[in-house]
Formats: sequence, structure tokens, C-alpha cells
Amino acid sequence: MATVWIPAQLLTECGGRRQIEAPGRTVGEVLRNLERDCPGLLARLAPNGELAPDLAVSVDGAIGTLGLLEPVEPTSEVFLVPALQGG
Amino acid sequence: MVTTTRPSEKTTHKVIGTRPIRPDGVDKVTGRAIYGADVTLPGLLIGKVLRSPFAHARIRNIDTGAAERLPGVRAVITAADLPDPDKGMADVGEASATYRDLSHNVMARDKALYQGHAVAAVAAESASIAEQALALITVDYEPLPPVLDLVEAMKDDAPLLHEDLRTNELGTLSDKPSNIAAHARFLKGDPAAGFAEADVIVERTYTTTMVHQGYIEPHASTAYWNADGKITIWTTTQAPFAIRDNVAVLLNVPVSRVKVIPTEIGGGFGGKLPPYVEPLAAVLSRKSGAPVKMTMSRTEELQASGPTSGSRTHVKIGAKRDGTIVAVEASLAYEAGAFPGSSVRFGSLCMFAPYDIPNMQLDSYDVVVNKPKVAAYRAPGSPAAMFASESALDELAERLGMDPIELRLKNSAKVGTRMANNIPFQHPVGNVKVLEAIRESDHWRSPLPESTETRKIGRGLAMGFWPNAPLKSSCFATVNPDGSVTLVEGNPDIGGTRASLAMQLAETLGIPYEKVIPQVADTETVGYNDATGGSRTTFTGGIAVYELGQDIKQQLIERARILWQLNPEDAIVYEDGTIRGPKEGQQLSFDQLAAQLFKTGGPVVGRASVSPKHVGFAFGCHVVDLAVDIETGKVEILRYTAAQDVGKAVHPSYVEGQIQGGVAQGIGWALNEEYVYDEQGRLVNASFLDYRMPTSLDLPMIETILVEEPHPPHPFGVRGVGEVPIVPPLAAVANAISHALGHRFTDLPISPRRIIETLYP
Amino acid sequence: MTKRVHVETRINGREVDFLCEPGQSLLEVLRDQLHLTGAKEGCNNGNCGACTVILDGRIVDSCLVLAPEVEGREVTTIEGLAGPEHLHPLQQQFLEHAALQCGICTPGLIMAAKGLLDQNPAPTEEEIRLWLAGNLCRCTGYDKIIRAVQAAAQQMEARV
Ligand code: FES
Ligand code: FES
Repeated sequence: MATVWIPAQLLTECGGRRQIEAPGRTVGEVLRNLERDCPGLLARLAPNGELAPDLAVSVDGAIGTLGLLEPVEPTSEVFLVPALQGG
Repeated sequence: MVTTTRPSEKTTHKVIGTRPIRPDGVDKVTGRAIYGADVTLPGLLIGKVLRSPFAHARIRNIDTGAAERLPGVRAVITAADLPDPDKGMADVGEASATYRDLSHNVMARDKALYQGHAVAAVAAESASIAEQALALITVDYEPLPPVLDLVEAMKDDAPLLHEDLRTNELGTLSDKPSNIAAHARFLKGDPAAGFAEADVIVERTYTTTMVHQGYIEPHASTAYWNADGKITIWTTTQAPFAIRDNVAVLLNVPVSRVKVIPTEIGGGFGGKLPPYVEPLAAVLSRKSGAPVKMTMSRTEELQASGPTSGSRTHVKIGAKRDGTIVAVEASLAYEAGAFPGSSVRFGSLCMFAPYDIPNMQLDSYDVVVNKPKVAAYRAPGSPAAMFASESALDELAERLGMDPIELRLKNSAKVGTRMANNIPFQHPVGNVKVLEAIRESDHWRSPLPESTETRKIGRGLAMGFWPNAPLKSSCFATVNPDGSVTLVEGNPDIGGTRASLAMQLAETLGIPYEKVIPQVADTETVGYNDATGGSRTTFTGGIAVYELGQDIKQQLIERARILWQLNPEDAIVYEDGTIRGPKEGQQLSFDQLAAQLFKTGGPVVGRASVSPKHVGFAFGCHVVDLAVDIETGKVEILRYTAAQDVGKAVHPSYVEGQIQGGVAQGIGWALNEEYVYDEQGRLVNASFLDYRMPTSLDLPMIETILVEEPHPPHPFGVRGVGEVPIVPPLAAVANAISHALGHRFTDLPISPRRIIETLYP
Repeated sequence: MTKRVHVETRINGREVDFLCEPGQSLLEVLRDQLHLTGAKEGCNNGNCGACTVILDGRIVDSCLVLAPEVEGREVTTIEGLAGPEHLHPLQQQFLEHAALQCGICTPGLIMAAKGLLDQNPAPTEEEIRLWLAGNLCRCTGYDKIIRAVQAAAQQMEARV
């Protein structure tokens, strides 16, 4: 099962838990499975079925480029972080 | 200047690490290079913008009749001539914005939200006619109370900039409108438990004011809206593709109708990511039927482009007596300007990134005020945040009686350490090495000159961090019969990236640097490229040209196979620009094979498109010696040394240059630069005379130490280098002044006036 | 419309004449009428030096010079510095020393530095810093610019 690190702004949806384990082969699957535990989470993260544009996924510290389709390993850590550019 | 380049593990590079002359150099030293304002076209009209004199006002009516009737005026526009897009996030670098805000920033709709906010624009046959026309436009304003101060803006009863703006409070929209656009948080461990273990707690509030990127070339764009609906825009931008995409949305046309041709660019530092005059020039062109050029004056730049936030940061650090940091808390509020989207979250992410701290809570507030909408500025968000954290750490070292380098080494992050967002560092980071490099430097080991009665000497040290942004790069290249390679890439060359990309391609192919001819292409000539920004051009562009080189090598091997009539299983190797077959002496140089391409199947074109997943985190450590004249308050920088982990310096001169330039901007921010507003929200120092950037007289030579801790995911170990050097100077200078005077300065800039007022209250 | 003035002058060694409005700056005429866009506009009020040209042997901010003032005088711009097949030592040394990043300040800095070397062939670092203080560069921190000017001075000395 992958470990999802819950960002501070989603702690309410997740009953205050900082890390939650959920199965899935992609970020999308993991989040959909997480939704059972944390109702309302998906609506927040992927309002139109796609990852919100100011968010990025990081799987094991790598910057995801596939959004919800990003592959996840059973031992992966999944992070939801603000999208980053620069000056 | 002593430049010490430490050898990387692998010193087999032939091109990387050398210092050739840049391909665009001759054009730039002879004045022939075409920058934004140098573009001209037949029948060109000049566009000018009418700007709000009020910082906050409702626009009741705009009468453009008289201006339209002036002979020589060819078009007049207001927001009514632009579509009103809905929300949706625009790509404007890390300072985010919705399309709606972007549109309303480009041209005010119902309200002017800062002095200088565009309210109308004209195109005329000459600049002077355009100016006269502006004077004939009458705008009926209802002035409103301006919101100028962060603390005031955050109060419940503050006047509102946007009646519909609700706080995104940790992910939930508040029910009352507010000037606080967002409150976000990074949480790691248990800060309360951490502080309970602390023997020493340092706690202070730090402030900075709005400052400008200060690029010397103002924004300049020329647009032509053709009769077939095609819009061509020549513009000075860091992000041609983002400008294309943003203009398409702002004008409600498909991206295929917009072509952006980037000109040479005279500096940007993040300020040339968002659109300003591009959409206006396009609409004026459609209305007039002629191409329209618009340039911003320096006053318009300062009033109405995208400076960076003023900030207020409260920091609390708890440590054990041995220097182990057990917990930190910070609360950062940044001015977003007139529309939401400052870089405050990135500031909070960066501020303690060099350290392994088990418990952290970092709260950030994005606050709208009646000032220009901020844009990215070099390592956006990090300098102000690390001014606070690195000043507080200096104070902690002092309180503990510890050497500031030892304190930082004791707490330094390493592979596996989780940052404030809980993501661990995956690859080696150079934070320890830059600290050690400074500790071993001649500068750190040299004694300070003696203070005198009126001239107080101090030394200060600080670190900086910026994560860098890899994003997307595409490019292609053609092998020419003479053995040269024409490289087509899509990142405007803001400081030597034609050279750094050509060098990496030459290295990959094993050919001389001079054989690679790089071109920066427009948005219809090359595949998608993200901005020249985020310290990414040499980094991601380097990965792209490396991949492209592999593609060319593979194709050349197949051409050799044809020439030598070998079978698919016969081994052919490409090594150092030579192609070798399995037989003794069977070999061709790159040039020899290049000359035979047409008879082996035609030209060879390589291509690549990459989106790297692993950034090379950038760390720097700076030390400064300075003298404070306590009679005048003037600070003289005596010596400055900057160590930075650059991964691998592709062209060391330009790497040093990036560091030296960042240091200069950081020193300006620390000592002199500031936006000064009067009570009505009018910028009182909107010129280079009064907005004081460092001159050659204000700085010494800037010593650089290039530390090379290779970044494994990059084929040459490169890290982005452009942004992090602006981060450490703020705290380094403040710490040095604090040591010189025995008083902690927590508000920037530490101008002569502030020093005098502090010393003689 | 304001009456235009006819101006005859020499620019980069050649006779040039143009019509301009009395209030137009030399910079405007150079750039917009004569298409000598090497002189850049960074501020239009004498505070950045991007528009530096040489007028009768002295450096001036061309944004502060009225175009009619150059009647009968001699103007040198960045376009007049290099020969057909060679660069001026300052141009060469700016390249060798990577003294430009974005390059927008470069024409002005090179013209200002030429003005210095024409009257002081071996300036000290302090003298160079003082002389160039009217030319802003936001990219380089000046370090490599100062070195390039020093190197150009040496190269020119050696040639004499
Ligand atoms: S444009 Fe002339 S000094 Fe700045
Ligand atoms: S090189 Fe960019 S301003 Fe000097």
C-alpha cells in the first residue's frame, strides 16, 4: 500500500491523520481509494476529474508530470504539493 | 576575485567547464542584437496606456470620444474591448494568477486597484500624438480608501479590494470576504512538543518592503492582428509559450491563432513572465488594422509591472543548549498586490530547508493590497523568508555562543531529511559543502579590519535555498554537410544559455563547441518550452540537448551501417565524435560522416522533448564584511564571498556571473531598494534616481566559490544556478550590520536613514 | 503640428541629416529615425546610461540631449566602434570576460568605458568604478565588467 502524506489544508477531511495508507497503481487510484476513508477529498484535489492546476503530485520525491495517471509503487510515498515554477 | 572551481569527480569533459565566447556575443557588443523596443515594421503605430492616478477607485465612466477624434489617432480601447475570461489558472511563473485576474490586471474593469493600473490605451501615428490622445480621455473615478499596509489589510474591518474574495483558509473558503486570499500551512512533527524540549528560544518579527526586479530593458511588445485573424507578437519575454497561451485566453482565440516571436531580452528575473502590454497591443492592432508597438516607461515599470511582495514574517526557533534545533514556527504574510497570488508558500517552504528540524509549523498568508500585482522575482518568496530565518539563526548562534557555521553544520539536512512539506531529499545536496567551503575560504579565515570611533566593521553569514523548477523543454537539431549542427531551442537567452546549451550538445556529440549553431525559435518553429526561469534553462535544456544528441548519434550509427554495408547485429560504436565499425580501422569522424548524409538517406535531424522529474536543489552560503559609518549611516561593502553548489558549472564564467548578479540584487534589497508609498498609495520614488539600485561604485569585486556536488539525474550533474544567489545577501548583510553595531536590524532596507534613526532615536 | 527642424551632423564618421521635432531627444532620433538601435532606452531621464553615446569626444546620455543640439557636431554610437572585420578591444574583452549577461546595458557601458580609456588609458579599479557609476547593470554585479575594461586598457596599451 502506498503512503499518502496529507497536506495541512486537507487534515480536516482526513480526520487529522497525517499519513494514510491506500492501495492503487496510480495516484488517481490511490486517491479514489482514499476517498472512502476521507470523504470529500477528491472533490478538493481534483474538482473536474483532473488534478487542480495549482497542485502537483510528487511520488517518492519526484515531480509528477502525469497528474492522476502518475504510477505508484506499493512502497511509494505520495505527496500533494503546490506547483512550483520560478523567476 | 579568487575563483576556485573544485574538480568534479569526472574531469573527462572536453567542452563543459571551458569558457568559450557566447554565440550571440558579437551582436550584443556591437549593438546589432534586436531587443523588444528595437522591433519595427512598415506602417507601425505607437501604443500608449492611460493609467489610474488613484490606488483604489471605482471607474464610473470612461469617455474616449475626444481622443478618438484627434487626427493621427487610429484606435482607442478600454476593458470593454477585451473579453472577460472566467477563472482558471494562468501560467505566469510561480506567482500564480487566475485568467480573470490576469485580464483585469492588464486592463482595469470596474475598479482601479493600484496607482498605474491601466484603464485605457491608444494607438496613434506617433508617440507624441498618442500622449496627446491620452490627455483627452476622461475617466470618472470614485476614489476609495486605499489599503496599503499588510497588517491593516488583514484586519476584519479593512476596506476590501475585491468584494468577492474569500480566504482559502487551510483549504476551506471562509464565508466573509477578506483581503486575505489564502492561509496555507506546512506542518511536520509536533512543534509544541519540540518547543517543550528547548533550552533557548529566539523569536522575532522581520519585515521587507516591495522591491522591483530592475531589469534595464522595459517591457516592449509589437503586435499585428492580421486580416485572417492571425496574431503575431514580437515581445521581450522569458516565456514565449506562456505568453502565447495567456494572450489566447485573454483574447478568447485558439492558441493556433497566436504566434509569439521572442526578441532578445534585456533582463527579466521573473518580471517578464506575465503579459502586460501584449494583449493591449494586439487589440489596438485589430482595431486599427496596423501593427502596434508598445513600450513601458521606467515609471510605468515601477508603478505597474510586477515587483515582488513586501513581507512580514514572525519566526520562533527553539534549540537545545548544544545547538540542536528542536522546533520552529513561522508565520509569513506577503503582499500579493492587487490580485491574489504571491510566492509566500514557497518562502515558507524554503526558509528552513537547509536544516534537519524535526518539528515545524510554517503558516503563510497571501494578502491583497492596493499595489501592483506581484510577479516572480529570482527565487520568488525565498529571499524575504530566509532574511527572517537566517537572521534568527544568527541570533541563536550568538545566544548559544556558537560559531554560525558550526550551528548550521550541526543541524544540516542530508539525503533523507524531510523538508517542511515532508518530502525527503532524494539525492545528495550541497548545503554542508558550501558551509565547509566558506569555513575554509581565505575570506572567513582573514581577520576583520579594526573598527574606529565612527566606522564600525562587521561580518555576517547566511545561507540560501531554492528548489529550482525543471519543467518542460523541447528542441531539435540538424546535422549540416560541413559537420556543424544547427540547434533550434525555445528559451530566450537572458544570460548565456545559447552557449550553455550549445556546449552540452557539443559535449554529447563529441564535437567542438564552435560547430554547434544555436537558434532561439518562435512558438511556431520549435516544440513547447516553459519559461527561461526557475533556474531551469541550462538544467532542463541541457537534458533536452543531451537526449537530442543521443538521437543524432543513433541515426549516425545507422548511416555508417549503410556506408559500411554492415548487418543490424554488427556492433558500431559512437565515441568522442568518431564512429567505429567492427573491422580494424573502420572509422569515420563526425565531419566525414556528416559530409555523406545526403547519399545515405538524406539529412539527419534529431529531436527531444523532456520533463525531468528530479530538481537539483540549490544551496548557497555567503559571507560579507562591511563598514557602517555611524555619522552618515552609509554602509560600505568591503568584501563579499559567495559559495554555491552548482552541480557542474557548464560555462563557469556565466555561473560566476549569475552568482555575482544575484549578490548585487540582494545587497540592493538589503540596503537601499524599497517602494515608498504616500498615504494615498502613490509611489513616490518611481524613477531610477529615487529607486536606488547598486552601481559599480557601491560594490566590491564579488568572490565566488563554485562547489560541484553533481546532481545525479542530470547527465552532466548540472543544477540550476540562477536564482539562489539572491537569497543569502539579505540576512548576511543584516547580520553583519548587527555585529558591527551591536543592534539587530529586522526591517529592510537598512538604509542610511534607518541606521541613523535607530542609532539616534 | 510643431515645426520640424533640419539638423546636419556627423554620425560614426558619416555626414547625416534628419528632420526632427525641436523637443525630440537624440536617443529618439537615433533609434526611431536613423535605426541606430544600439543605444538603448532604460529610463529616459539620465539615470541608467543605457543610451550612452560619445558627442565630440565626451560621453553623454543621449536621452538627455536634444536632437537639434547635435547640429554640426560629431556623434559616435556603438555601431561606429567595430571595423568591418574586427571588434574594438572593449568589445573583444567584454566577450572574453563574459561581461554581459542580458546585454542590454552593454552598448552604453562600452561607450562609457571608451570615453574613459580615451582620456585615461590606464585607469585603476576605483577610477573605473567611479566613471561607470552612471551606467546601471542589473545582471552582472559589475565584477566582470570592471575586469573587461581593465583588460581592454591593457590590450590597447600593448598595441600603442
Ligand atoms: S535611457 Fe538615457 S540614461 Fe537611461
Ligand atoms: S548585462 Fe543585463 S543589465 Fe547588464
